[in-house]
Amino acid sequence: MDWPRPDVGQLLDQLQPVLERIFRGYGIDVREAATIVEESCRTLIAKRLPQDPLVWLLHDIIARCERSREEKGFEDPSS
Amino acid sequence: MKIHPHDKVLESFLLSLAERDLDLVFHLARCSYCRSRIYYLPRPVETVGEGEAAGGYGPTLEPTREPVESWARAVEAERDEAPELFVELMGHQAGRWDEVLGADSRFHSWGLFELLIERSWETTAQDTLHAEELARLALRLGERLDPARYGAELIEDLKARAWAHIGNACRTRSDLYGAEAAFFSAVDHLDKGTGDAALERAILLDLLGSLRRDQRQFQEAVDLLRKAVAAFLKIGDRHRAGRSLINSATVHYHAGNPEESIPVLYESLDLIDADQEPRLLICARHNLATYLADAGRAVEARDLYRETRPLYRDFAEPFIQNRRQWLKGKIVRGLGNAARAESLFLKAREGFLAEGIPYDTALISLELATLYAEQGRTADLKRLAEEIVPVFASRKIHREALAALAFLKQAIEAEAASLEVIARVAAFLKRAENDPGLKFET
Repeated sequence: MDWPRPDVGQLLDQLQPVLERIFRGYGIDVREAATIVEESCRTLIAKRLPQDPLVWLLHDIIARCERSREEKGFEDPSS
Repeated sequence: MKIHPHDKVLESFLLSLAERDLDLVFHLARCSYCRSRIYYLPRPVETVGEGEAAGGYGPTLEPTREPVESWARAVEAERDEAPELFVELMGHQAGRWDEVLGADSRFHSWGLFELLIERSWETTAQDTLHAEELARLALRLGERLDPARYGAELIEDLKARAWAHIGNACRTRSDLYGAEAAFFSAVDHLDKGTGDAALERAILLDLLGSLRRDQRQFQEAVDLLRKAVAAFLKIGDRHRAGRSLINSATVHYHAGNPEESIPVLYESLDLIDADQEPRLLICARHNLATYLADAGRAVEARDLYRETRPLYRDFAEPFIQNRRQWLKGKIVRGLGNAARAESLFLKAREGFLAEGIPYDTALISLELATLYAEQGRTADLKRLAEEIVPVFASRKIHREALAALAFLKQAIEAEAASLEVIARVAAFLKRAENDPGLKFET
């Protein structure tokens, strides 16, 4: 089967306007944001995923942000 | 907002919502996919200046682009070269593969790694030993890949897939212990992997489901396959989800509940991509039509068969064409044409004998026997009984099945073979096909 070959540059262009909102929302600093984007893109390229690559990339970046926040120990003032 | 809102704040917010908006909030609470979408919705009406759009992140993300794009080009080039490398590698004797891999860095590529794993999967149906050999070769190649270049965790994810294929190859040749151990290794590699290998996890669930089916742990098999279907759908792989549903239908059949397979197979038809795997589609349609006919839903079975006719023409091999005749026989019998059914059963039976498939020959002979018993054709029944046991005694058919057939022969000879007795032996043979340990009780 021929798998779609996602154009990562184009995907990043499309996502650019929303990435800031995502990273700010999760309190991710700029250095970590760059690492997250790079790792997500590498995974997207390495794995041939049948899903819409734009949706997958967005979802994966958010999942990594969530994990990062959990690892840092998200402060919960109500606890 | 960086803190969790107080209960009262949440409560007043929820109370302020109209019922429709409240439904939306509860949907968001359950659906991570939709939660992720709120970050880019509403879409900006007009694009502001580039620097502003990306804020403080834009300039930092920009340097990421070049290495990622260049890596993408390199991986795609490796994928393009992989088929040639594969042919070159396979051109050497199996005993020399490791030596060749070690000596030539051209082979140390992601493209070849992926291709070996893919070929291992494709080969399983024809040659399980070769399939395992390819997956193990992929694992050894994985050891030689540069983790700094490809990412150690990504390599682990793919190793997990290779182990899953080894497990499946073992299961296919009835090495259930070997399969269990291989799946265990797959889980181990997944744990060392990226942590979000949704596709690998879904594949593993599906293959583990098949193992549990063969181990006759039917409920666990159905549960695993249900999870596999959900996991494939979540990542948008509808075809693989359809495949897992077909697998699940097979579990119901092996568990002795073929009627439960019917809705599952109907569901699978909407998901299977015929261009990707036409054999899978014909398998689903054929099984569905067979179960419908067996359940007395002959008109439905006929309509489905008619829709499937063009697909049957694409598969000329006796394995499929003999089963097609058998199905046609079941359908016309259900529609009341016993004479036509008999001639179709006889044709299919001849085909199975020529193919050397004793089990299906036994099953179709029993289908003929019920037809003769219904019509009170004792002489034909006796002739059939005379033919059955000698044919199977010389073939690979297990002892209990032979005992059941011998019992039936005696009953026919004593003219005591009622329809109920024949149906009981047929039902036993169907179950015993997938459970060699089953005992026949007279």
